[in-house]
Amino acid sequence: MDRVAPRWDDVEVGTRLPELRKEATTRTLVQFAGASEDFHEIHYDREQAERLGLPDVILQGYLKKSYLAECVTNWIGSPQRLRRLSAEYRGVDAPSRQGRPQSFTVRGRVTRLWQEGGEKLAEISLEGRDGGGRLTTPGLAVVALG
Amino acid sequence: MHAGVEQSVITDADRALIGVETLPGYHLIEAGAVRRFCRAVGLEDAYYVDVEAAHAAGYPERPVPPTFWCAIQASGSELPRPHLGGFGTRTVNGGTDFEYLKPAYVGQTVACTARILSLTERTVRAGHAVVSVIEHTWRDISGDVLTRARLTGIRL
Repeated sequence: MDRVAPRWDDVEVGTRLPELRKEATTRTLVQFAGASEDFHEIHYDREQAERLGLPDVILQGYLKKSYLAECVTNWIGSPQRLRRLSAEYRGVDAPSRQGRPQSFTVRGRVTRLWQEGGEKLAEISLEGRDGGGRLTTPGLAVVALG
Repeated sequence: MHAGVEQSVITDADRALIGVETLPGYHLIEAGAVRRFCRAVGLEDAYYVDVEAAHAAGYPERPVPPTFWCAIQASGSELPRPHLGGFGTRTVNGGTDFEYLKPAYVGQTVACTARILSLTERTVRAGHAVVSVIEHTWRDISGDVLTRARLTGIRL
């Protein structure tokens, strides 16, 4: 695999994953709308988003979940070590715009280690936060380690 | 029925939809679709888009990115929607939970089915809500489950 996966024996509860920082622009939102075939207007039509009481267009839930997945797969070295990935969309995230930069940062921490079905597993608590540090997208992953 | 609500908005006809599985919708996992998805997310791992890089990384083919499944869900029009007595004006995406049971690769044809797992009424910050959990299951041509997703929708 491209990256060296952490060994289960070297990981402990509390081990932190390398932080992932992403910057989604309005272009990103349009690209993702096309790629995921989610054409809900709140992701690309600012007037429609404002009519619905939103301050701006918002990042797609699956885009944010993709960032959570990327943080985890960067650490484990392969998407095929992922056994489970969940995300809750508790808050909205606005795209980065000229003069008003925004970011989406993912942090992860190992919360449980166990063996099951012949696999050495780790549970990871995930936090997706906006540029102001607000937790908008908590998540959970289960991965198999070597 | 939720405390404080005189009558449930979930009707018997709505409850009858729970557990009814759609017919399978078939999708070819196309290399171009995966490439566009990776570009949109900013995934830079070459093994998702380049066969030689995938082989060099130890995969028999280009693996499917973990969240690519959202692009090949069962069509919403195939899943019967509960009427809920006309309750609510919008549905909010509450979250998603994916289980990965078998590796999937570019070039595979997969079958996706969907069913409503549950309908419940709750009081949330924005008021009264109906929470639906919809399960999507993707299988390979031999019928093995590749990925299963549970999507929580909040009707307000």
